[in-house]
Amino acid sequence: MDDAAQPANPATIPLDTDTLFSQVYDRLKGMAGKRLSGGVHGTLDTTALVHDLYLRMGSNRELGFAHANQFFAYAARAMRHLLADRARDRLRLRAGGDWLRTTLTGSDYRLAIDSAEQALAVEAALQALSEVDARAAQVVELTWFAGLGQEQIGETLGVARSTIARDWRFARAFLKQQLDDTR
Amino acid sequence: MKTDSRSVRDLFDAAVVLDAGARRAFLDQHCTDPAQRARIEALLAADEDTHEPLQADGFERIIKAIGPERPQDALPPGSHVGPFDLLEVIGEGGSSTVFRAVRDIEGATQQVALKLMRRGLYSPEAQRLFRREQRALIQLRHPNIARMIEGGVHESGLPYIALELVEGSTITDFARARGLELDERLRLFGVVCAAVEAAHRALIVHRDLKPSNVLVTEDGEVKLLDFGIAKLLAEEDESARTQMPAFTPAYAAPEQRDDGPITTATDVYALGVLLGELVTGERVNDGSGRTPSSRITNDNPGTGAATLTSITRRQVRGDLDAIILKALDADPARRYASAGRLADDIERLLARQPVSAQIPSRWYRTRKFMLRHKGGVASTVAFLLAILAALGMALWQARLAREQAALAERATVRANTTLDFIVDLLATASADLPKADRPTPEALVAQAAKNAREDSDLDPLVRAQLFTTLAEVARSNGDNRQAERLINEAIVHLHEQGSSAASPEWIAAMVSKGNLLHDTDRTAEADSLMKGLLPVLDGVDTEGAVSALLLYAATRAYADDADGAVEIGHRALKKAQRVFGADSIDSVSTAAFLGQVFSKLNRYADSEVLLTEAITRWRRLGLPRNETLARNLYHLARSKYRLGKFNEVEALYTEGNALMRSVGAAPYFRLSQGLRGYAEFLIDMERFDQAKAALDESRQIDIETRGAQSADAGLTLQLLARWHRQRHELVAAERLYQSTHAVFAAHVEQVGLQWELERTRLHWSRTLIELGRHDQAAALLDEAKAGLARINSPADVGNADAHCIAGQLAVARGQPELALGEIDNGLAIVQALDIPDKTSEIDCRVQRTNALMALRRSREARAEAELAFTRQQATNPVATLKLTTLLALRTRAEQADNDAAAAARSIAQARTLAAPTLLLAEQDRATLGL
Repeated sequence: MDDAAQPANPATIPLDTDTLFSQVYDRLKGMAGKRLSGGVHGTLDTTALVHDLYLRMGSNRELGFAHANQFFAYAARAMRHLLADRARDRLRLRAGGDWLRTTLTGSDYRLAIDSAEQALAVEAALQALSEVDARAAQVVELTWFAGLGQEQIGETLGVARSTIARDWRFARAFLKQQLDDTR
Repeated sequence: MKTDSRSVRDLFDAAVVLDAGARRAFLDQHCTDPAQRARIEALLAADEDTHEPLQADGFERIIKAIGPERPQDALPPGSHVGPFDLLEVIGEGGSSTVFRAVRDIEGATQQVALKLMRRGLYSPEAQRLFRREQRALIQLRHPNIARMIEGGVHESGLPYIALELVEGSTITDFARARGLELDERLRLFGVVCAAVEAAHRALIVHRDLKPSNVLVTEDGEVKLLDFGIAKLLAEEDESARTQMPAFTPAYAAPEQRDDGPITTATDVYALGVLLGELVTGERVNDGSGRTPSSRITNDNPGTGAATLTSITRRQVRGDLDAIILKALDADPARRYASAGRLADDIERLLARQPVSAQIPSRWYRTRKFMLRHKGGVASTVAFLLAILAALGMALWQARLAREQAALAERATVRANTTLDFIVDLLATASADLPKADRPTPEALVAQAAKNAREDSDLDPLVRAQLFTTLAEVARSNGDNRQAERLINEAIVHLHEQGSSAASPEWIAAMVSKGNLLHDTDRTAEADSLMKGLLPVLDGVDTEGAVSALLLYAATRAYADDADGAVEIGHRALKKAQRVFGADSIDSVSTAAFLGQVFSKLNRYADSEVLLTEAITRWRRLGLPRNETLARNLYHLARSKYRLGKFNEVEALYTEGNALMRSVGAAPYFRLSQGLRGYAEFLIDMERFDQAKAALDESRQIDIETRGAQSADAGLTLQLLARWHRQRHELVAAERLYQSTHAVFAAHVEQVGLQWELERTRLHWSRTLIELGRHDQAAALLDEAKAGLARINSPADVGNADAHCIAGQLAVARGQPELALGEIDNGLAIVQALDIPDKTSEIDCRVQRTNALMALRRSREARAEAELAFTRQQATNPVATLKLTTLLALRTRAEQADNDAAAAARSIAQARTLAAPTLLLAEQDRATLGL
């Protein structure tokens, strides 16, 4: 059996350097950039973005995903990284740079910094969760970033739906507590 | 440790399914480490908190707020790109990094600006397109366009473009640094337009024109950068686009943001933004709808790019405003057909010739603004309507003046200034603000008045007229204090200007002042004001003169000079027909208004005739089925209701309400009036459920539009009280009368609800008597009498009611002699009035019956009760509850007269009416044995 055809699970989600992963990452990034450019009126629904990408890649057979579930595992992780990378980028440039000043002004700038910090807090909480319970963290990833339901997450991860429900409940409490602590 | 973390999860899973007590026991047993215990408990608490850790749109908000991506340092200086060596970064754009780069051509060094995109072109199709577009761009040669030298794809897959290196500053910086005068800026801009036009002829659209792409060299030579680059780098397949924005949102035309077709008109739009920025220092397409000139403040001419010059608002206002706005039209088809046409208008402007762009599009913009903000500014709907009306007036004046050629120019300017002013004002109410931060109509009026006082640019006459307009707006808002301040200010200014009594502006101010006086129960003052104006009105055939006559007719009516009112009213109608044409909406409206005046004079029959005629004409002429028609339907319904033509009332209210629903977005405050009228009718018909539904809807509208403490809300509350009273639910009625009273009392000074306030006091007082609270009732009655004395002539139905209620109180206190005197006074007044509505008379006769019974004059009491019953049966035989009550009264009188047979017949008659027993008063139920 071809490797790529295996259902993804936490252990088989590749490193960031994986080609397949970086392709998904790049495409998502491009789509996100394009949508953001719509200014205040542009919408950027992260899960919709992932699904759009799935439709495009699926129809073009561009990438070697044998199974939709596998794609979503990649895409959700990519989306998560994308968000964190963007946030880090923004904070790195906090001190200034013409680019920042010309694209954002005043209260937008403050909001950008706050939001970036919020995004990193979410990322840190997810990171902490994955250290405590890796599968619960992936359930969150698939819920938040790929917008999958518990049924589909169960299929993706190859476990019963009731297990996913328990994972989610724990993850939710865990993240809430972590995020409240950092606030 | 791994085992620890596993146990956190395990402990949580095990504990979370238990109830609170069992959890404690479980943790006591299985979790002994206090730190871990605390952690588990925190998790359980977090589990119970219903807030999600992240809202549904959390990431969307976050990622948007973080903003566009930062440019990557794709390649470090020193790298080779195609034949070029990168020297240093000279700029970073949204999608690319620009390097100064060099190449060696046969020993000569060529410097270029090398633009390296941050993302690769993925598909072969995209790369093919890139090469094709690039060939077209290389062929584009124009002295004012930076030449494209070559393009290619770096080995990393990133496309690059080498362009002629231009050393210069952006056009706006250049203008500021050199302190250019307006004409010099316009000439520079003309060069830009010509270059854009040349590119358009070569079928190349820039797509991303903005100051940083329009450079001016030290020698003053204009160079446009990046022509067509945006298109070049846009991927072929929109759905798979992976590029960063191919345009700059701040300068983008609406069709670019909406993914519409990009044409040369897109560049015309960007040129409009550029021109606006060049002359005002601000980006003028911020969605505020303000005119470019209004951005220049007088104290500080030309902020931003215009600093160091003396560009004034006056220089920009007019033609230049028109040119910029035409270029910026949201509809590409309404913009200049080409950059060349725009350049032509700039040429004409510089040559002091008339330009092709026309200012009247301002009216169009105002309308657009209102449409755009229609739903968003719900609380200010009334305000916007008032402004629309005011604008209509200003435009009409301009129209009139245009016909008088000599005055044309001045009056048009004046009307436009007014419009400008109001557009600016509306911009303050921008829907971009959160709802809570939007200024209230009151604040807007105050702000506008402040501007009007301080704007030294305003023509003094315009200033005075603005005060009048604002006073009208304040008045329609119910802010009468502010309105009075403003109108007095207007009158002082007009006086100082030496306006003649026959001038339109003077008449308008007088009408406004008169309406205000009338609204605030100073009708006598309004009356003398209009009387003073009367001599000049005959010679003036204008809308203002019609309004003045109509107001005078109304004030005459209030002075009980019915003949005078009718005479003046007919003069108003004749003038309206002269001014507007007999079949115009205004003439028909005037006739309808006259119908309303007649209704006030209790001449319901005349009112019915006039309104029926007006509405018939309205329908025949196919005039718009609008709000005015709905209001006339209401008034006709009311007249018919007063005339007791109950079977014709309902259809009119139904039509009026349906129409009102169709013209205003719900909740619409004007609908409330129709619902109240309908409810009043339904209460009389004792169709209580329907009445309640109408009142509930009306109440909801009041709360959502005018507020729970508004005068409108008071009127609805008053009917709700009446609804309960009619059903003998006295406690509920009493409470509601109390609320109604509080609302009216708060408004009486400002809005003038004296009559409604006194009416509420009367009904409240009557309800209190029936509840046995005599002292409180007596105090209220005294207040009501004092109030009525201020507003009514002694021969008024209110005074009749006051006498009868005093009689009712005296009966209740065991003073029947005193009571009879009061009641006879009341009856005398009401009979002399001879009004079709018999409610007051019947109420008086009920009290008279009671007084006579207390005096043991049973025979007379029987006759009185019989009279009350007959009147009710003649006027409203549908009201079975009311009839039953009257039959119960008659039964008691007959019993007191020891006529058991008659009493038995009355009881039998009452029972056949089958009124809802539950809604009868206890005493009546006992009498009738129900």
